[in-house]
Amino acid sequence: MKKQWFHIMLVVAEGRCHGAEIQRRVAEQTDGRVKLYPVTLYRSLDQLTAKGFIEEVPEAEVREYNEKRRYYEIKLEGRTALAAEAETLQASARLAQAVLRGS
Amino acid sequence: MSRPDRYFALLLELLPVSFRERHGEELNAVFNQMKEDLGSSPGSVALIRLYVALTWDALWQAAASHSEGAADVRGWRDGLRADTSFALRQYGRRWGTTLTMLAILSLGMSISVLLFSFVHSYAALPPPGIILEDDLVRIRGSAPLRDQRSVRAFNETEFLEYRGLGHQFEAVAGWADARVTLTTEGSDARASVTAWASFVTENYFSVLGVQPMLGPGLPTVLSGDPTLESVAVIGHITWDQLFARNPDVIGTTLDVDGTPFTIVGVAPPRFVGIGRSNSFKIWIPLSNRHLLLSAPSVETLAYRSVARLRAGVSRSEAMAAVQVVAARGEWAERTSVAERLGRSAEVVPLLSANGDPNFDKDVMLLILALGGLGILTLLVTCTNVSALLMGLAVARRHEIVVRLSLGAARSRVIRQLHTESAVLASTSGVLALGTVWIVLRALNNAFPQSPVNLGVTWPAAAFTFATALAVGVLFGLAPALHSTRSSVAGALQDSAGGLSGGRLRLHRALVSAQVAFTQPLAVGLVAILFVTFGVLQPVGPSELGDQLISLRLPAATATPGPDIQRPESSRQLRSQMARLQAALEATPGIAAAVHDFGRLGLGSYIVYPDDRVANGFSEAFPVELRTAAPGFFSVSGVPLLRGREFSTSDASVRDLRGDAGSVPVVIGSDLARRLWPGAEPLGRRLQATAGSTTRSVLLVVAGVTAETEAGGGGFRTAALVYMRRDTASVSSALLVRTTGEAEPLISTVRRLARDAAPDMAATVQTVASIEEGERRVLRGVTAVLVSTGLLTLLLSAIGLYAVMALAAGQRSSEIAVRMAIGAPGRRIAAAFSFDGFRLGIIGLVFGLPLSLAALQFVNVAIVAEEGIQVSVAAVGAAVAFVVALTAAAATFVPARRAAAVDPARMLRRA
Repeated sequence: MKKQWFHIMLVVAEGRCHGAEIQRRVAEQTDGRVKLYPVTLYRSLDQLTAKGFIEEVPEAEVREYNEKRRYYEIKLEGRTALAAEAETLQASARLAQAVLRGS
Repeated sequence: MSRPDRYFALLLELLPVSFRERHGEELNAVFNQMKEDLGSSPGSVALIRLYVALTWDALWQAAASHSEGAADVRGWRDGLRADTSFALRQYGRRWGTTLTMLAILSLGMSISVLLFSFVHSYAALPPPGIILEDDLVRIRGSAPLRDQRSVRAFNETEFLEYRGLGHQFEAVAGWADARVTLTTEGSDARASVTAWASFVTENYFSVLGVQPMLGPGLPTVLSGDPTLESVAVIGHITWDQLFARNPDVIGTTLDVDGTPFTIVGVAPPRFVGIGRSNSFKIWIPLSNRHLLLSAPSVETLAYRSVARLRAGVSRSEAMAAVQVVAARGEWAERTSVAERLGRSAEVVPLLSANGDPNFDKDVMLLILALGGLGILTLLVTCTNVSALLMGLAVARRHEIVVRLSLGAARSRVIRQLHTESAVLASTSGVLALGTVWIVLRALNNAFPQSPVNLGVTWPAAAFTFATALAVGVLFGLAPALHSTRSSVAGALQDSAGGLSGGRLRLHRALVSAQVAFTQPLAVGLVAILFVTFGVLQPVGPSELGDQLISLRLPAATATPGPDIQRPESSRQLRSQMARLQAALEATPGIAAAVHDFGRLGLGSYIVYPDDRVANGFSEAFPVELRTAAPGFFSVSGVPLLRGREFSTSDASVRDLRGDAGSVPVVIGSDLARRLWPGAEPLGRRLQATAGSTTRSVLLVVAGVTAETEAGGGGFRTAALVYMRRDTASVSSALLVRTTGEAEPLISTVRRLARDAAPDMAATVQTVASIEEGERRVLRGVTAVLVSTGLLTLLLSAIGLYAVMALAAGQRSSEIAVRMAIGAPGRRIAAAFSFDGFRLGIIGLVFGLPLSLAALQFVNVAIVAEEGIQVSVAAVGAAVAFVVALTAAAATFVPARRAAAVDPARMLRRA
């Protein structure tokens, strides 16, 4: 799974949010290590939507400050994929620690 | 909108329309948020970083999104595939022209890649077998020498000081070289060869990152047991030639100057150490130097050094530390304060050729000369091919105009023609790389001991390839534009199929441009050849080269300067040399030994007015002054054709610096013939030119020798003039004449030199081997230059021929009409020949400024220091004649073919 997808889905899994909010919270969660630039962010959202991991919330076309925003929430398939990816990352981290301890 | 918004909007234009429409507002919102996050007054660096990141983000995602779904991208790929297969079919239909263009372009690219690769190898690569790494450096000593700096080796104390710089260097290794004789016992006979032995520190191989390909290598820890350290690593060529690549060579014994050493390793292929170019190399632990250099003083071995920088330490920091050490000079007891003050040391990357402090100047000259040749070659090649492409495009004008008339866009047809150029350039590039690989393999096999990494350097290949592709596309643009400008009616009506109007002018311009570029290229090559033979005037082999041994005892600190002239050093050296000379002359097999003083310097002389003769050379000429002791000519075997040898009562070099008088000299017969043709040279005088401090002292010809060089000089830069050395001077070199072959006596002479002067490292070689080495260099240089020059002319000739042949074919109908109305074939042929010749002359005229610039560069940048001048008129006239002759020859066959046209057949076809 692409790194940006993982972090986007982590944020969306916490609750529905729009693109700008996702970008801000990913930066907060990773202490600025992961920066989602606009085009990457929205292409990733489109790709995740096409894969069925997240979905756009159609009724939540909330007009705040006269700006049109789409909200996204995670689907069951997305949670499953997220959990699997987290497990994979955990296993990799355990392996790395074991190797470094051994050397 | 504010400026950043406009920029972001422009970036969004790169994205698919559907994406923009869907997310446009949100994208702007995120962009604004990112701007706000930078603060109210963001710094310029932060802003630039944001813009760069946004730009990269947009470009990357735009490329990805376009390739994912857009049908026109797939169409673009399919179009390219179609263009390429169409191009291949077109080239296949005209395979003769295609092969010609491939041959020309790949030949030109091969030459360019070779030239650029050599420059890159010389300037930027480490010695063969060593991987270039940032932390691997050379500690290079230098000392002032006249107005330049010369390389300076270290004595052991100074070297150990550098080894002690633990803050700057993780490890410092060193070595000292000496000539040795290797002897092996074969099944039939003993074989002895002269080799370079490098006495190395225990970490030499590890610092260089080189592992032996066989065996454990030298011990990395000194055991103190001499029997365990009488070991050596042999070079790959030594293993190949002396041991027939025997895999069981480890543990066998090798005789080095009569001392047995156990072989503990074989160096990997191509690794020859640093700086010394010789087929046979061995590496011996430094602790064993006493076995081969009996009891040399610690301070008199000449050390050179490499090192690994400690992590986090820059080269400049390390250099500051070594310069402090060098400037101290407290160990340099035999030098003056002034000499110590001029000493320095540098920390430089370990490259093949930067052992000399003048490396930067030399490499710049090399880049300009060879790089210029490479670029000119590429230009000649590309104009050549462009002219042929032009002709091809004209031949296909019917096909092109039919496509245009069926609705193909002009840009589409141009794209097709460009694809054809690109296919041609790419294929030629692959062929060129293959050719270069073969040539370099051959060079590596011929010169395995080369100290320069001879290999295809990918930067050079990539540059040539990219240039050829770019120039090919650029040069393909003109033919493409011209050929698509035809009107349909005009093209269909025009059955003559010939060039006309603007196309004709462009075609002729390309041919002339090709000749124009060829001329300075040829001039540059010829000039370099002149210089090579001028600077390195090859001297015929000494008749007794196989019976002469050159023995040199340089001061082992390798310090330039008058060390030897110090009173106590001079007395010691004189006594050592006298003992050595007596010991040599008492040795069976040795006939005589005489001091070899060598070169005194250059001067400029002119025939004394009263001694000039008609037809004699009366202008100033450069002279190389050499000094010789009485008896030198009889020992060296150089015959005295007229006059006499020097005697002890003759005035000497010292008298040259007096107020007035004359000094007897011995000159070569070639100089005598040039100065006094048909007249007696004995007794005639030469005078230093105006401005010389020795102007008042005349040189009087006392003897005339044959042209051959005495003492294995190999090359000379100017006319050779000998004068007697005064008895007060001390020589550190001897010329030894043997009664039979000299080679078997090399080790004996070396031993005698060690006994007489234990604190000196002797260099002992036969004169024949010195001369052969230098002739080999000259042969190599000449072969390369002549081959390149001939190839260049061949390229030019092929191009001219192909262009004129195409023109003859295009104008065949016109020729047929002319012949049908009575024009004789001879006149047709003459007209074509004259036309081609005229194109060549136009090219010569336009190439003249470039040629003069090339000659001037050679005269000023290369030749000035050697005191000779390349004659602009002579070189220019020679090249103009050759290029004109080539143009005439190249047009001769097409002209004859044109004259052989059958008018009836041509007119029926039309």
